[in-house]
Amino acid sequence: MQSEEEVDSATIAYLLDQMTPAERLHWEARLEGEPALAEHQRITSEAWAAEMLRTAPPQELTHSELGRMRMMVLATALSSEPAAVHTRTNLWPWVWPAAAVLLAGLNLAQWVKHRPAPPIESVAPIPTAASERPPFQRVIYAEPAALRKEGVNAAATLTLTETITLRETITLQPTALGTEPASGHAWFDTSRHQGLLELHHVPAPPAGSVLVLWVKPRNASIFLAVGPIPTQFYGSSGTATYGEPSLRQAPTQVMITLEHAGPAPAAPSPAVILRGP
Amino acid sequence: MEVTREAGPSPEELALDRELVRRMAGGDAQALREFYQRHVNGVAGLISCILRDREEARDAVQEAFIKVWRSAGVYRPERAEVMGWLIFIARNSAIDRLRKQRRELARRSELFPAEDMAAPTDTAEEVNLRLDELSVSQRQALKLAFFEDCSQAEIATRMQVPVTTVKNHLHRGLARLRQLKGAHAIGRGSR
Repeated sequence: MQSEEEVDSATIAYLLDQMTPAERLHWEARLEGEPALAEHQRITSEAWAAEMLRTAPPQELTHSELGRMRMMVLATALSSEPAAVHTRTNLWPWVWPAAAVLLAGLNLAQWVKHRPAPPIESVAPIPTAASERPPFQRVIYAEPAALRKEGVNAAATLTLTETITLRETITLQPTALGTEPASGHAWFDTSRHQGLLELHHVPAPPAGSVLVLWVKPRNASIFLAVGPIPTQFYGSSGTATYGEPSLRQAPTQVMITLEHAGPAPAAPSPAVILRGP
Repeated sequence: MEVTREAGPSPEELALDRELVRRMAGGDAQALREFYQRHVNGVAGLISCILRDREEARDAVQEAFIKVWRSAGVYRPERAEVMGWLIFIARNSAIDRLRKQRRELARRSELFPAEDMAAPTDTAEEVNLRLDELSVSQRQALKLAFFEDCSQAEIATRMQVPVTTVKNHLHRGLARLRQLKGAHAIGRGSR
């Protein structure tokens, strides 16, 4: 039987991520089988977190910082799915400690082997069906009013970034077409060969016209048409991911143009809505 | 001095947080957007207490929300309220970076003994006046563990007391916080 002090020591180690994988598994098995212990941890974590949060002076982030960070989070989140929803298992209580022992054994075996991992020589392949899919995989639609409330309309530039970091940026110059200047950000996740667009105040094109996204791959001298911007963006704002089979790295330039509806154009028209750098 | 404790999140706010996490678990990125907007300032403040470099802190904030998104499906309400869950995810994201920095620092300066870490500053103590329900030692032990990732042995060295005393400070400090939580609904919620 553990004393309260020992329980608190274990709770602290668990919450502060100071347990080994085996210890963690064992502790989680106990939480699973002992509701009172889980409740103790729930109250401890809530009370401690709240007090630590009180001691931290609030940090005032600028609208621009907030907007850029939010887009970074969304960009990465959109390229990965959340973990599967947890379902309670009916495993007998002894299964978890046994699994902990097994894990510890595997760790030990791994340590004994102590072989360096072979160097990674290849990059993640582009999904084979990429060319068959529509260019825009996923669209999140948001009203400009909601975005303004979040303070993102302060951003007046579209930024192109490689590998989802803010270290390397290229500024795109917006050109006015609607009542409010169009703006946004473009990202590229090199590990997934996937681009992300977040556009604000996209003008609605005249009837018979569409807005088309173009990219210029590295070592290329011409723009490639990715496809028409989803109509949900017209007159509004939103976020979408896109794929272009030729793109393995971040494009050197991104452009959105006004085009005639119909067959895909071979080259961009001079009516540029957003471009960069 | 009269101690005032801020009102905790309302039942509606708690329910909204749970609902947002439930929606994130289903892949709803709009829920992530709303969750981020509700909590980013608090998380950024907390992380900036751990990581002094603004750029590093900003990256850690982003990482924390990405972890929230990725682990929304395994969130267990019976083990933590959403705020507690978020705060420990954020804290551990920042601490991961702090540990890397320390390893790098140690690697670069093997010829020199490790520099003593600074004790809590007067400014930090002033911020914590509302915590005066805890003793100074309890508070210091809890903060060293949370913000500086100190083990019990390290806390003992820093506070110049035996490890058993540190265990006692941590236990009594947490017990006091749990007791206070029973008397007051604590927590700041969104800022």
